[in-house]
Amino acid sequence: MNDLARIRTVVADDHYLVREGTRQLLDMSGEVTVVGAVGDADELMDAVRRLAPDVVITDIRMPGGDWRPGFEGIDAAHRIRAAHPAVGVVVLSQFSDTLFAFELFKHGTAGYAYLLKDRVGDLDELLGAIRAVASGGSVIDPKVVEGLLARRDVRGQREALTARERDVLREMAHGRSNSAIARALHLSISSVEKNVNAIFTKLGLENSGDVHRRVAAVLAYLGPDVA
Amino acid sequence: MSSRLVAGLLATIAAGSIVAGTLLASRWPVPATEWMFIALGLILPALGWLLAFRRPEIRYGWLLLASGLCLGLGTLGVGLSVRGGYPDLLVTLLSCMSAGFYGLTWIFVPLLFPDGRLPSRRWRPVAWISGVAVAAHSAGLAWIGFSPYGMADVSPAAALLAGGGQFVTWIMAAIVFCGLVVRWRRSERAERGQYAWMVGGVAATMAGGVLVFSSRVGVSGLAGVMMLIGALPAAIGVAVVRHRLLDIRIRIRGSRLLLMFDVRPTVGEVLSDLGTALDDAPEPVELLSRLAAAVRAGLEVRWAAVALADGRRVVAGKEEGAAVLAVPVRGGLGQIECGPPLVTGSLPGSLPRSLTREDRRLLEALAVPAGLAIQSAGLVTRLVNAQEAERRRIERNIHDGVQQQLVALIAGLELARATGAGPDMLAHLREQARQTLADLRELAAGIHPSALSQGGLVEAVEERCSRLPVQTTVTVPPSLRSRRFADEIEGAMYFTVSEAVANALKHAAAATIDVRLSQADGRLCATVADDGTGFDPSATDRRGLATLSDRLDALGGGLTVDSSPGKGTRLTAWVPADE
Repeated sequence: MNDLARIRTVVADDHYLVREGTRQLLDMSGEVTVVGAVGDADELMDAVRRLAPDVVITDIRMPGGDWRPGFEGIDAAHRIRAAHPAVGVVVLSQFSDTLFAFELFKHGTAGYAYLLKDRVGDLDELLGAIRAVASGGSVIDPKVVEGLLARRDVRGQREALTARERDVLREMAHGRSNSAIARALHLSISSVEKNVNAIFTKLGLENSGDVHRRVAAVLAYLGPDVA
Repeated sequence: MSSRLVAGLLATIAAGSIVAGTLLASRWPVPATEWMFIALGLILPALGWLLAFRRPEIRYGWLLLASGLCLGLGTLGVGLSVRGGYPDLLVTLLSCMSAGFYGLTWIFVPLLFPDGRLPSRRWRPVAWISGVAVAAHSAGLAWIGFSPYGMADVSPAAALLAGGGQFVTWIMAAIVFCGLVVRWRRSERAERGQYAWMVGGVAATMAGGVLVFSSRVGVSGLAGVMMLIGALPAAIGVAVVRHRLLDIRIRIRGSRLLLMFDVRPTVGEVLSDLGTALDDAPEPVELLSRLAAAVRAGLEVRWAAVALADGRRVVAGKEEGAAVLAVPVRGGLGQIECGPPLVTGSLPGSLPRSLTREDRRLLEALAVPAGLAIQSAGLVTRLVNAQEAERRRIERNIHDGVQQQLVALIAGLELARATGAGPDMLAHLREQARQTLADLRELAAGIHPSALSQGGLVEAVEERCSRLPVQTTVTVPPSLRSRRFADEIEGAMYFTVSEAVANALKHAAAATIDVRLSQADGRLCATVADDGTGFDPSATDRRGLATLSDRLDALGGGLTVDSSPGKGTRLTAWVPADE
């Protein structure tokens, strides 16, 4: 892959070692080039303006500046998406709490990915998310999907999904295609399709062949709608 | 304040009568001697009023007031009889009040000195005989007064009654005077001044009486009258201001002369001082010792102690002598005890006294804040202990968990470096690191979940409950969903719910848990109900919940647990919170 085809990214993390580690991992991948690495939300906004990256990978908590404490990364993500709709944002979170996921997806899901931070040790996952948001898609960490489902349970909005259907839903939210889901769960593609249809029927959602729209639908369903 | 009203009324009548009676009896313009008589006569009702008004519980003030009243009415009677033209009955009745004045001032004022009580039970007959004699004297005088033809026509019975009464009065006065002298000789140094003035006053009064009866007119007669009327009240006045009699002191502040009453602090003063003292008490034990000190100072006792139900005891002063008064503090947490009153000598000028009803009232009033202080002292201690225990637990968890995992990771990495590890081993190490991270996250969430600080109580409770392996429902009214409360409220409520659901899982083996948050009537309320095995709350040591109960207590809230074996458990926690 030549440099022109590489996805241009900016990495933001207040922790130097994490920032440099992520940068090296991404640079090494050959798919992504890190054009900037910054330590807080103000620098991130500046870097996006100057460097016009395709994707931003940011930590949630980056103390400093005149930002809402604890939500700097998420607020910056919203501003970036508002000012530069073509820029995708991958938010890396230390927290598996659904609170931050809700916060990130509160205006919509397109172009956002929410991953737990330890995914930096799982390059394929990270690259998948970067690719997804670069093309306007969405990704949400399976663990967080698990949390979102559990949250609905706790609120008494329990879905009668089977364990298998839950697995499939999680993978769907992760932005995976049916064949990828089949590989991940060691299922046949037709079995995955059956489960997907059952999920959409049970949740009352419109099925869509398009992976991005499918994630958006699932997230819109599980996500910020706090009833 | 009806007693004060009565005191004021009596004093006004007495003073008015003295002035009116004297003016009625004198020529115009009023000579200086009459003014002097008025001035001296007014001392008695004034002093009586002062004492009765400020210390209505002390009988002595009322005694002085009664003497003043008798003096006033007697004087008025004399004045009216001099002017003539007033009903005989009125004049006679008023005139014979002077017998009461003599009886009171010669016998009862010295006898009941200084606090309005008999020196001992042996003096009872004297008091009774004196009372009868005074009554006989006045009755005789009244009888004589009714005889229309003056002294010449006095019936022998009336003369006998009046004369006998007066004679016995003199005898009793002499006996009482002797008793007073004996008490003076025996009294301790600090009291001696008071008694000396009293002895002097009574002696002067009696000498005045002798002068009056022997000379009737002239300078010596006038001096006798003045001594008769003024000596005793003047002596008492001096004893009051110089020797702190009846807790009245005189102070000179700048150019102003101040009479200070109630040298012993009142209940209100003690409470407000105590409030301040407790507010800045740095430590719980210090709180109790300040409480004991306040009791000791307030009651002027040798020592005071606050004894707690758990056996702890804080004493102020040197514990000498047995406790003479003990009052339980609120809620059976312990009691306040106090030793014998300070005796004369240790506090210059104070009187020997036993603890009065007033003292008991003071102590009972102190028992309320004492209960609160003890309660909060216990609460603070327990909260501090709980905090310590929690810190130790966290330290242990970090030490045994994450720390060891990181050591293992380092060892694994070193091994990988030395052996040129393959992808499998590296993946294994990565997994190990991930597990460490997950454990650390859980630990951090246990210390203070990010959802609580960032999202608030409802968010954190939902988050906590969504991670439980059993079916758990959290019901929250929409109005509460985005509400934020003070950190301590959110923390206490969150950790209570967290502990309750943990108990439901660990001990009760519950299959479903129902959590409800609500707010009504100024209370934020959390209920955790499960369908588990239940337990007998009275027989079970609830260490974890006790800590949380203390935490809620400290916020003015509370915790109740409703459970019985086989019936599940229902825990309700609440704190005050405005809507």
